[in-house]
Amino acid sequence: MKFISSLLLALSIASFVHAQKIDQTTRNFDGAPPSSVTSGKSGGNQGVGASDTGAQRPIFLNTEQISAFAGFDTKVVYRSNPLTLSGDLTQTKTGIWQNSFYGGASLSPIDTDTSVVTPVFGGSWTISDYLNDELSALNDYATSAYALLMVQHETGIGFRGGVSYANVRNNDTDTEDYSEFYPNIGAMKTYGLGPDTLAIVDVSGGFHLTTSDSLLGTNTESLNNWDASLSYSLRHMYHDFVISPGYRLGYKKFTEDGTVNDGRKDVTHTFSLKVDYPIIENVNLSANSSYTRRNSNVSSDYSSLDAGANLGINIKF
Amino acid sequence: MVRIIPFLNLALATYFCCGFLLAGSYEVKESIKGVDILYEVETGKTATKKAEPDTKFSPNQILATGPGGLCKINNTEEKSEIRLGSNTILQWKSNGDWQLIEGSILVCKDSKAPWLLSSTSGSAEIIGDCTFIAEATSNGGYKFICLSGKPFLKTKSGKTKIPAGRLVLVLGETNALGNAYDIDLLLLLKSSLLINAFEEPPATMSKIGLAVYSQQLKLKNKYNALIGDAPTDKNLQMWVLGSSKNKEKE
Repeated sequence: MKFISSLLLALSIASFVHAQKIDQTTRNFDGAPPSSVTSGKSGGNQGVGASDTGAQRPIFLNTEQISAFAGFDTKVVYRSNPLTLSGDLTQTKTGIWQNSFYGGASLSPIDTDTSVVTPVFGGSWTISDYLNDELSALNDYATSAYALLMVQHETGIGFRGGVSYANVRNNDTDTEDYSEFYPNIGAMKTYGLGPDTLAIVDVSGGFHLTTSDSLLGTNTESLNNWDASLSYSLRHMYHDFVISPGYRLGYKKFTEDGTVNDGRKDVTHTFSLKVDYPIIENVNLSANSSYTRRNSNVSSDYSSLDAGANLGINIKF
Repeated sequence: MVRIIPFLNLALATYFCCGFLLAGSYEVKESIKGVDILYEVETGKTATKKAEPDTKFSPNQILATGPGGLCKINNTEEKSEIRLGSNTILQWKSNGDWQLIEGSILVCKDSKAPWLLSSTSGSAEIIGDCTFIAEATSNGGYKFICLSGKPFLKTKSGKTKIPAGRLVLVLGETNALGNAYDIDLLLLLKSSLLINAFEEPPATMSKIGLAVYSQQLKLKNKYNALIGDAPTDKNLQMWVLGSSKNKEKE
């Protein structure tokens, strides 16, 4: 903490370096602050009142070509239907403990007249432990990576396109259960609903190019599918809490003929609620729950309820 | 209003002999609170009238607002919009030639044509499409805060490109550019009456939003200080947030 304070002090001095033509000496003096500063709080925007021109707070911009971030999440979640099977399989209810490490970077944004283009890439590694002993054989670790081009247009719509890769390996057997490449595109638009609430509409789609174990047949690509989704969520700030309810409608059309998924189409509805609370800078505590219901034309219907909490640390470099 | 009358008289006397040049016209679109008055400055004659919506504003006229007053004028030909803050005196001297005598303005400049913006003693040519706020400072110059676009500021000391989010001082005594600071656009937008006090957002709000997005991606750190007035070319007030003591940067 002391190191961070020292760093901030050094950076605050360095902030006034560029375009200097005048001596850097600073001295205290008596006098009333401008109307835009009435009861400013350190580290936040609270207390900065309105003025004609607005408050002019110096900042320090990243001058590097790349901005990196990394984090760790630990999460405990109750899942009512971890096997995603139809019927009331009460014996399979379980808790899951997941630990994730992730990291990524974005290249310096490219400003055009009408948009801002940002290349982003990253990856994660997650280990999942099923707390129900009868399901411990499902313990796995998952790896993912992605490369995206994000385009924020002046209309306020953010477009994205890229490809991601994921694989899941069984913890006991160290065999790959599933992997996929997922080229995808999406668009997102946010609207303000009052001073404390944002509404977020997101549409996305892509093709899952999969490889899975052949227990259900000889074709390891039986899970290949096109998918599309539409989601609507709110982000409401209440004191230090961020409350985010949401709904997502998903559609999948499986493409491999002659497999167990021949002609399969799924429609999935997901309702979710998440509450975030920042404990200290870069450390976040969240409570989240979701209810998912899948309707399929090949008797793969299921519903599942998740509820849990997670603690996350996120650091920007 | 009482406070600005002496300034208005001074301004009227100073610009009494200015010529009248045809350059289309601006129209008053919105007038909030306070007193907004249009002053005619023609040879041998002066006249004042209340600036109601749809009142024409022509070259060689002065528009002034009183305490708490805000005013917006539009030029449909150039697609330009100018917003005046309170206690502001602005003269349109001729086409592309403006003088901010006191107060602050927000300009949505949708034109490649250069503008000469002067204050009581400083001036700079603004080249390129952009949105900016100009605020007169006590040293006779003004602060130029770029909100969108990448205009060039041309003074006797040279030509400098100013990206969105940067504040630069146009100095009064030396008629040159002074210090430049990157400032928190999001905070400025939230706290600026020139942005928020009108019925409609500025005409270039979509481009300002894009500049905010870009700045947030590049943001590394914020400092607990706010920039204040520039009493002289060598001094800039720096107000420390959350501190009873304030600082002046020499």
